[in-house]
Amino acid sequence: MKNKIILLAEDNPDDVKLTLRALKKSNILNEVVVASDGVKALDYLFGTGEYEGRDTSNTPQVILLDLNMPRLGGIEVLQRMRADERTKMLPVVVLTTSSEDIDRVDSYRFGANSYIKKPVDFDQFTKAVQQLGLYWLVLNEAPK
Amino acid sequence: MTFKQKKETLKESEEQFRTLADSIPNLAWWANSDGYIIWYNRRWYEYTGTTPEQMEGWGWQSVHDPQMLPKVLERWKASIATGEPFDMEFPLRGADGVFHPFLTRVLPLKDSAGLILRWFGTNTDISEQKQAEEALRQSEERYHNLFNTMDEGFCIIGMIFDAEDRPVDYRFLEINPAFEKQTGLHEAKGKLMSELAPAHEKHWFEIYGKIALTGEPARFVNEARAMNRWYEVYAYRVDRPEDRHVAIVFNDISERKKAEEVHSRLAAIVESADDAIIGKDLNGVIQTWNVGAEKIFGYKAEEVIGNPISVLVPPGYTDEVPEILKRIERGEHIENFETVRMRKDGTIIPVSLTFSAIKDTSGRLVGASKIAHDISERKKAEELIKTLNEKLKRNVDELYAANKELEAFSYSVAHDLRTPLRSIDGFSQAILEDYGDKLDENSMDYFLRIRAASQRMGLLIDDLLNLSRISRSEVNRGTVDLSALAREIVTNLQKTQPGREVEIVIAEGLIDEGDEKLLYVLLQNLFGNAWKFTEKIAKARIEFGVIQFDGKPAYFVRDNGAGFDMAYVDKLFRPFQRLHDVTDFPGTGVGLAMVQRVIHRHGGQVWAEGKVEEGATFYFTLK
Repeated sequence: MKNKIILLAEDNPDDVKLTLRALKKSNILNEVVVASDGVKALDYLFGTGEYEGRDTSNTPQVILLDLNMPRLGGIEVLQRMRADERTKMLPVVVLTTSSEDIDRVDSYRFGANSYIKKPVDFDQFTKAVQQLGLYWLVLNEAPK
Repeated sequence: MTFKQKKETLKESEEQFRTLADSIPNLAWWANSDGYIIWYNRRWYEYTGTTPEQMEGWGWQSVHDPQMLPKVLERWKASIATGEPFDMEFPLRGADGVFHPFLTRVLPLKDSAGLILRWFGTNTDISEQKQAEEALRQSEERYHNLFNTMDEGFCIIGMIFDAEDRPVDYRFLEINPAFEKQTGLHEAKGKLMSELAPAHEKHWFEIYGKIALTGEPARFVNEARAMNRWYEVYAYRVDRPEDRHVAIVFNDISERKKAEEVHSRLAAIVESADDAIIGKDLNGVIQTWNVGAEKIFGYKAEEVIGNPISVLVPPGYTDEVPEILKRIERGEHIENFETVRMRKDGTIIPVSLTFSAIKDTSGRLVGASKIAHDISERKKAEELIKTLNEKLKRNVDELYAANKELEAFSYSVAHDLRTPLRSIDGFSQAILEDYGDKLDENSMDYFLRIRAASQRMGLLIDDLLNLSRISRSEVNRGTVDLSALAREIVTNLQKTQPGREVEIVIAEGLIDEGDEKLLYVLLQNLFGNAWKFTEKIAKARIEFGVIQFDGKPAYFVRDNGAGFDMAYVDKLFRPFQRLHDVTDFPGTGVGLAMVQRVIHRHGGQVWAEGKVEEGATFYFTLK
């Protein structure tokens, strides 16, 4: 599990910290790359901008994608990813505070694999992250 | 006198006679006693164009019609034989070869002994007399034909007067064939009017009596009630005044009278109509103008009839008139043509026009009728409706915009309020986990309280959003099995607390129209409350059923739980209003507010009955 990178696209530093803590508490020790907005997330995936020259063949195992981010939102990131051959098949889990139906529908329409509402209760959040990690990092075989 | 003297005297008188006979316009001649003609007067030769040689003796036969001749000869010979005078009409041919009718008379001239000396004959041209006779015959025939074939009834009556010379009756002396059809009286000839129609009005006798007495003819229209008919009559005296005969030419005009009545009734309707009813000819010249037209347009009939219809058309609309006329000529019926027209005082009024063609009896188009209805009031009302609609639309737009704003607000509430809460809760937890050993009990308690409060706030935010979602979501009506929904909800509740024993009674077959998703939320809240508030009851019971309320089904969820004080019943459905302590019964106070919104979205009613410690019942109707 060590080589498997998790890309976390999240602008709120509190949420980044809490997510990392939840992953750690769930014994998910994979390398986590944090992109603080949608543009940076795409730069990482496509080796552009500050990730110029990155070996893009080393794709993340799973992407945890926040919907509300500055510059480029989660739905747009998802759309760009699904339109590109290199990232078309990458598992994306939408993490959001929103419980609005429209967000959920959009997420699935644009090809999200899972949708997790971040609860206020940290214990519940930890549980959700744990299950998510088990599923996407252990059980689910990424397409070759 | 000697014989010779006698002969001389005869000869002399014959000479005198011949001179006289030559001067008369008739043809004349002498014949011997045996009928041998010895002399003709000058007129004879002039008329027949013959000579004495041709005519001598029996030569006259050549100017006779050969067809008539045998008869003439027979009669002439009979007269000669008997000495009886001859009297006969027959034609004689004139010099021009044309036969004329002659009356021929021959008288014997006898001596004192009674012996016939001579026959004296005259032929009188009776052409003119014959022509007059023929003319009379023809005229009579003509009048007879007229009498027999005319449509009008004709009769001659003999007036009957009483002792004081008052007309009391009349007798039919002559009637024509049309009489029966015109009167309906059978075989009237020779009968008294009083026999035929006993109820015949007296004034008829008076009119005819006056004509019989004075000889002044009269023409009149009168009703014969006894015969249920109207007549147009011309009557005049005939025959000798003392005969007191009156000839009557009459016509049954009942149909015409009826038509006139209908016509005048229609005219009255047209006249009294509120709408303007205007007749115009094919040139657009106004022919008729009713009171309605006067009221609407301000012109009096006498000042506008004969003027072109365009006096009613305001500038800018003049093209309409020829256009409308063209359409009418094409046979179109134009109905509710909305336009504007101008009153006499120049004000413009909105009108609705209906046109129809006016045709004469042969179907030829002779004009058009126009009905104008003043639609000012309607236009005003329409204008008002339009204004109200616009206002309403503005309000709806504003409401829509407000709703959009609310949605955006809700969305940001969901995100922006929850995100810091998550930090507060998450980092409190992190402190408790990572630094728990460095904190005293008090500090630990505070952090636990921070966590509890932030989590409760999370719930409040969630419920607030749920509530607003109910108001925003569309109502998709369909058939909903409420009993089935109730069973599903109760099953889920029992799973949450498998240890509880609650008696559940759900009426079967409660089916109604509504939005299944919203009704699920509704029942979930009502059952959730019932479940929650019976938690401390030993023999808990929850019932779902229906009663009739105002002719509609009212469903209810009843429990025997904590109940409530009816004094606070109006606070029950307000959001975040709670009648119980959160430590006794957890909750945000949004559940019943959601119930109420679901019912309002369905156009129904919801109400509650309850008593502290004795349970509560929530009723709702749909639609």
